[in-house]
Amino acid sequence: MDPNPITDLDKFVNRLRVQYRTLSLEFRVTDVSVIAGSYYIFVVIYCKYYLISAFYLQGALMLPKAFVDAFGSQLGDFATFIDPNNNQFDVMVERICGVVFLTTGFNAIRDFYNVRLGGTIVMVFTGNGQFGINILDRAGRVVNPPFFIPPMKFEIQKTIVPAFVYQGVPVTTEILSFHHDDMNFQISWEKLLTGYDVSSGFLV
Amino acid sequence: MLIYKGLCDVTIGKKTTSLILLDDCGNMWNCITIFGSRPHHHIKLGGGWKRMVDARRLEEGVLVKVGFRHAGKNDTIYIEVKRPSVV
Repeated sequence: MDPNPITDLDKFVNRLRVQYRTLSLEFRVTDVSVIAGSYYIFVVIYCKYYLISAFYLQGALMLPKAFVDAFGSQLGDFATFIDPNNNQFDVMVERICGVVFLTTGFNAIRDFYNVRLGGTIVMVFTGNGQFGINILDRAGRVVNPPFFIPPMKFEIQKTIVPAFVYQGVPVTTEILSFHHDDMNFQISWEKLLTGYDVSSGFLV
Repeated sequence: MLIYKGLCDVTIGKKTTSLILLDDCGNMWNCITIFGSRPHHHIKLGGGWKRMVDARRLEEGVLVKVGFRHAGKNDTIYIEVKRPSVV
């Protein structure tokens, strides 16, 4: 599909393709219920001409194969999610045995929109590794995205390579989501946040 | 309180002015640190901290675990938010 149609004919052809090349996929959801206390939301990906629903668990997402076949070459090592209020999320793209996962950074969506069980994320692939996103709650209503000036930008460390060696495609996406290394807490302590920490802008 | 004695003096020191804060979603936030001496020596963490509190919806009473990777000069502070698991 031509991303920048110029002539009327090109625009017309593009519109027809959007209209008629829509498909829907479902993913198995069996391995969810055994993980107590975990959350999941359903993911719907409207690409330019694909409607795909996938399954999201514990901060990582497997992109459906139909999507990868069509757009995998346009995805780099990182993807960016942009919501209607211009908040941005950087997400790492990992390829394991030909399967594409969105991993580090995807987890941030949960707290930011306060999505719970049964929520839906609608992702529109707009090319250049960017997705426009919208969050729906369980009843299918659009969650108003939080408004920040300047818009919130979730950055991830782009130099880090996952140390885990995969043997075949992982069964659950949970192990692909970001986890702290135990080494990160060699010297550590715990703190209960007070009202001052939250409101003043300083961790004291 | 980032208590200076015993914690911050071995990990960041007085002269550090900025830190990268890495939370448990893998996001990083650029923070500033301010050394204070009253009522006792301590270090305040500002800048990106406020952004993170807003973005992650942290509230009063949430338990956070703060860590450093090693003794000596660190440029990254790690934070893990521990909340009761909510479905």
